[in-house]
Amino acid sequence: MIEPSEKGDTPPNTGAVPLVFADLFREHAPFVWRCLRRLGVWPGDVDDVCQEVFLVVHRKIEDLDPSVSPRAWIYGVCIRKASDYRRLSHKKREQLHDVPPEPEERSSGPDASLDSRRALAKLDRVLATMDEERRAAFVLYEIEGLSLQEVATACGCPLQTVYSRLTAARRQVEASLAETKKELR
Amino acid sequence: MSDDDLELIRLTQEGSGSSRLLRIALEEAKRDVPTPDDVESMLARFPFPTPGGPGGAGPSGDGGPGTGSSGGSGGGPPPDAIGGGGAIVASSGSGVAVKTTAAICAAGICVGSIALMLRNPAPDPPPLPQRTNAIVATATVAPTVAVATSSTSLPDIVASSQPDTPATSSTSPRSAWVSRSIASASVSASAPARPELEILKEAHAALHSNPSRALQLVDEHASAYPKSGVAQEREMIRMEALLNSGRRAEAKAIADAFRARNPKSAYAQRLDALGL
Repeated sequence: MIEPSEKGDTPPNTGAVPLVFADLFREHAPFVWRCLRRLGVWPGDVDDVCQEVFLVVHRKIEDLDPSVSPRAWIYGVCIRKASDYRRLSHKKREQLHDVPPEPEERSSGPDASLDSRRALAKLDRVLATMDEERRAAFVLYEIEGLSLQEVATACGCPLQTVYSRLTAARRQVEASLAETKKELR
Repeated sequence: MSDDDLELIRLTQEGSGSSRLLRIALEEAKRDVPTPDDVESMLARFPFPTPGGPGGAGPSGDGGPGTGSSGGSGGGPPPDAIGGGGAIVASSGSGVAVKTTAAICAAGICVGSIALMLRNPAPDPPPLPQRTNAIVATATVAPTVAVATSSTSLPDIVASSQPDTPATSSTSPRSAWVSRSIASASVSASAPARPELEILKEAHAALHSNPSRALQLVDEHASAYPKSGVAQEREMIRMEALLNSGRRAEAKAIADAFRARNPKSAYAQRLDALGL
């Protein structure tokens, strides 16, 4: 099976120094992994999905232009794999873990790292309620630090669309987090 | 419109107007990456050679493999199934690193498929062809190497992918995750019927000790999962079980049909190695 968007969107190889798979992996895997987590891949599955992303990279490596960073393209593969993952395993996952678990309460008093983890868990809950396109735009721009143009390349949509998705996503995230805070009071 | 026209202030930057909670969450999200060791063990899991760079032979070559134990119970850092596989292959052949990783490539097909299966227990072929294609692509790089995989390596490596592989570096949170994840994956796989993984693992285990049992299990798998994404792996077990039962002619007939059906299968070389 060839995913539609894998066919023609790899930059042409201009014949410079060939890309080495292991180098690409070491450079990009941490970010792929991180991105997949925020795109809804569960901790127990993220290594496998990350591997799937890089199997695509491996298959396409000869088509990649060594003079152009494949970053945006790789993130595009992430989006598709995360989407497949969510579609295929949605029901099963939702049954197993309905919502991302909050870090456990500890009696040892305030702890900055615990606060951070809790904040992230809250963000994950909000992300889980967003539609895929907004979520991807938000994650790639705000967490992965891509440029809007790179997000557009990864998502395969026009720049203006990314802009709209991102601003909508931001509003939704802030509104939902504010709600969470109110509930806690 | 140029990129610059549209670039926005990132929410983690000063002046973005984002809430403190959101900034904390985003900063934490940015820190949520695997450790370099985790990256190396993920790299070592690929079912094809991944040489080059700092790790080179490192991920599969140091630590665990030295024990030669299929359970992966040695002192090696990565709580990783393939680590044990490297050991077996290395001990069965010469010490050339490339050979080791490439042999893992051949033998790792099964492990890789099963890893996929854990995620998608329902018959679901799409991911598998990708993985197999990748293997075929690399198989041409080192054609002689895959043959070096002894007939014992496949079951051994599969055995080493059992969920009870100890997470030796459990001090890192992510390692703990990995071991938890393996456990939870197997729980999720055991949903409706008997999971594919269980059947095939048992069949593998019985290949030498009780090949007729292996054949029963293979039949069980074939009827329970007629459209399985790991049908090729199953048929490989069938052929080996037949061979081990002294039924070479039947094995050969299946092998011929298998080759005709799957002309590009990464198992072709393995069939050669088995003399089929």
